[in-house]
Amino acid sequence: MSKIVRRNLIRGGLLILLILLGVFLYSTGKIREIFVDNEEVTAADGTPLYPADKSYLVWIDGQELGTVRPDRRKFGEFPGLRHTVVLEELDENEDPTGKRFSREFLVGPGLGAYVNVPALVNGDEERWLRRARPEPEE
Amino acid sequence: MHPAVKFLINNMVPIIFILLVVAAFPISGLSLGYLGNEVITRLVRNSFLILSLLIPVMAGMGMNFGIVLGAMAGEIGLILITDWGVFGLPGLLLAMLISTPIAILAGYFAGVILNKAKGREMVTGLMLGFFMNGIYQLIVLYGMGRIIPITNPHILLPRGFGIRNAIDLLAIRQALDKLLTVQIKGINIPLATLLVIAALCLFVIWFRRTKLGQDMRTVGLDMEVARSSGINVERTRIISIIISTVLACYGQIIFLQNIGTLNTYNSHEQVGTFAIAALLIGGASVTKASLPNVFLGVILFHSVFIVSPRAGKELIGQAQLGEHFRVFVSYGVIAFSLALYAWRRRVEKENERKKAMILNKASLTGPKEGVIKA
Repeated sequence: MSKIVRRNLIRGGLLILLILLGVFLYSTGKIREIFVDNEEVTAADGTPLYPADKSYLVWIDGQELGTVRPDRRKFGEFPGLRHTVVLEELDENEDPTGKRFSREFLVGPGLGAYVNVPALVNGDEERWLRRARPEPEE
Repeated sequence: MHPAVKFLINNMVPIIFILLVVAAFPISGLSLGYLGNEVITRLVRNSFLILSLLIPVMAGMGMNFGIVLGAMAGEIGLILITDWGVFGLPGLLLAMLISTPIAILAGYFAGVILNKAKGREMVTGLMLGFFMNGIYQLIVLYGMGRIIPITNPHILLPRGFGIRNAIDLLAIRQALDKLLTVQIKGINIPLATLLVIAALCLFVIWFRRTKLGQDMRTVGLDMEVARSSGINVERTRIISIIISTVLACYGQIIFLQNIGTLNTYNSHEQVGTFAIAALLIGGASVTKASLPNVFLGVILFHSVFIVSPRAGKELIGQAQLGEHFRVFVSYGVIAFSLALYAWRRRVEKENERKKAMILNKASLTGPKEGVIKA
């Protein structure tokens, strides 16, 4: 292999490495919209599965989002691919009952995450998380 | 000349500024803790930018006013990551990554121009900064949103293209500074940024010992000697400007992440002047600049900046006097240092001329005496 070819190969390799680094930085630093919905989950035929009857205190990546009451939504913007949601059950007086639920999840670039509280609390692996392009604000 | 007088002349600028700070500090009424905190903040904020000036001095190109080009490249990177919504340290690194090729291109362009203006690099660099500012404004004011896709309505002008006058860099605000901090006696020390600055210092020390670094020193000492010893003078000078521009680009990103706001159209304007003024206050000259000059310069220059408005207010009841004093100091010190340098060069040349005349006289009279003695 001639010197020029080798040099160009090294340069090309470095360029590809830099592009990959850029993609990695973009995907790890890109902000994601995360929605926490405390709404009833129903089956395809409309049968209620998990009712939304309790309030929860929500943290995403250690940052408190606040209390999400039944039929309400909380929303936050968080950078990175990997996120952790923590829920703490509250009683009628909105005091903690001591029950905590925590889950980790991944969100791709350009997508938002929709966390359903009743499904997460009831351990429904299929319905607790939905990844989709965030809907434009009305 | 007496060594003490020589020392005074050689270090006149730092001595004047030390005296100025010592005199103004008690008048200002500021506490030592406050001054320490402010100086540390500004040291961390500005050192990288000033360090970027060292390599062109080594290559004999004087103070690189062209670092403004690097600063503009850094700002373009910051605008893009703000539009894309990339947060934290990845955002900061991505801004550096995006702006690197722009800085290399700008540095190459500046290097080629400066090679055509040998001996007048500083004034050419200054003018180049003004010229490139126009190009930058054209890109940012008309190109962004039209040719370069920008979608974030918070940074776009209401007309749909062009960037707003001020951009909130909330996404990367102090991303590096707050990565690792320690508190010593109430003074917050951003350790991560200091480590980055230390790494650059080590790079400068290492670079001086490399073949390219030695070539630059040779070019800086005498271009003709360098050329006759086989060094590609023009290429070496271009590389020195490229390195300086790229470092200035990173320096501006570090500076702006600390501030947290980008003034799109004038954040870069004063960068060259302030960085050069600080370096000169630290005791550097157009031909010689070292790492201690950088740090002494930042400490003295910014101590004056912090102390002077308060001292002005205490003395005549107007803080604005101190503000005017800042501008006066930065431009004044550049003019003073350059005049001092020119005067020193003239004295040196005069001394050399006198020495040469004495030697010439001795060589003319020497053989005659020999003949008489014989």
